[in-house]
Amino acid sequence: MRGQPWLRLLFVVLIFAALSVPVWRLTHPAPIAAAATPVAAESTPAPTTISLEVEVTFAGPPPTSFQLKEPGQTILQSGDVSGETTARATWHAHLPKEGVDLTFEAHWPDDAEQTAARIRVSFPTGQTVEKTFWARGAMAEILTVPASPGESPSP
Amino acid sequence: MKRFSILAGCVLALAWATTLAHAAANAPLKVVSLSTVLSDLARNVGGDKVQVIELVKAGVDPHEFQPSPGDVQQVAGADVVLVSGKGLEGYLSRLEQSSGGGSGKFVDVGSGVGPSLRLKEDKKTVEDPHWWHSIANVKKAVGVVRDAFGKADPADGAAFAAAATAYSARLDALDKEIKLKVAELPREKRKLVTSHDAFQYFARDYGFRIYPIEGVSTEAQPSSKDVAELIETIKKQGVKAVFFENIENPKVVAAITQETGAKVGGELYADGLGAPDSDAATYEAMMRHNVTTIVNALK
Ligand SMILES: [Zn+2]
Repeated sequence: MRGQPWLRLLFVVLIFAALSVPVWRLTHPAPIAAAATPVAAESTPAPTTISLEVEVTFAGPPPTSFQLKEPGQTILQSGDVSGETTARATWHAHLPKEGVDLTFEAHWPDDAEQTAARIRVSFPTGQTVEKTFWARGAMAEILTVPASPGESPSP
Repeated sequence: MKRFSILAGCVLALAWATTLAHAAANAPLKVVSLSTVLSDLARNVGGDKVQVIELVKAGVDPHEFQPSPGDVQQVAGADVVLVSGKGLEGYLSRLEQSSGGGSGKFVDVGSGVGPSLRLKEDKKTVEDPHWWHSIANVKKAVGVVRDAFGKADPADGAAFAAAATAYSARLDALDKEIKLKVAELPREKRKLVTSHDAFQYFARDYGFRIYPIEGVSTEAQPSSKDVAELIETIKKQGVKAVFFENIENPKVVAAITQETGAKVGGELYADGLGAPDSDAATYEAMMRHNVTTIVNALK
């Protein structure tokens, strides 16, 4: 092979040919994908992904069932803990500048006394967003988590 | 015999007067309403102790309504006239004058619900009259209606107060239900393109941003420049759906959806309740209809 320059040339040409396809794809994004989404959100920056610690604490006996969720995803539910008065989870949140609404739903036995649940979301900076809700029998509440604590979410 | 006849006449006259007084005491309050939402509040607070006469009926555009001579007569004979206020009834002073005024029977409910949102229209700042899209405002309106009815009919004041308390509790439950429904929609998707600018109070309470095609009133038609700008905004913001209203012409909405690729999200009740056979015949039903339509279309 060393003595065959035409073979070396052929080898180089083949390598270039093999590389040309991915290089062309990288430098020419598929126009079909762009055309298929005519109302793409051009000006909305990508949401920040961040790991947040979520803690739910019950003032009295824990509910028979509960669920903490964001739109389309459950963060924490009664199956994750059993009989504890505190439940914790790490939430890998995608936080847009508008913030995220968490929905908390819980059920206690019908004859249960009035009780409280506190939901606390801790940011890596140590800042927290929290709210305490009171209910008897059933609870369905919203906690808004802003993109950065201390700011109110922008609509 | 003559003395007996006089006595009998007196007794009969007294009985007649007592019957008349009793009938008057039991006669329902005659309440004229200038808004379909206020009509519903009046029925909920007043029950069978009020007779509600709707001048502005479902499907009528309150921005363009003009009272007829028959309407003026109804107002003249009313005990209470419920006014939506915040500038919605441009004809109000004429109606007051032509119906003979009346000592304080006109009740401006809108002025009792708290501060108005102020919006820009044709380079002027105007009051936003669509206060009923905020349940917090409607709860205050219930208090205004209760007090007005109690003043006009003190004997039934306790019944009005009890009914108002029960209705307010239902409004609290409705507010909670709406908050949970809206929470299904990510906050960054809460962008509402509507025919005219009627949902700012709703947007304030539930975290939406409004992109109206027309202004606060339905009278001002959008220019082609306004529509072109809105199309650009819809594309940039990635708005999924555009809504039309029960009273408005949906043609402009259709043109915008064709240009942007956004879908028609459905019909919203912006300026009042739907017809009695619709799914928005009461205030509570109207709010449920609007929220469900908005959330399901934008999800
Ligand atoms: Zn309007």
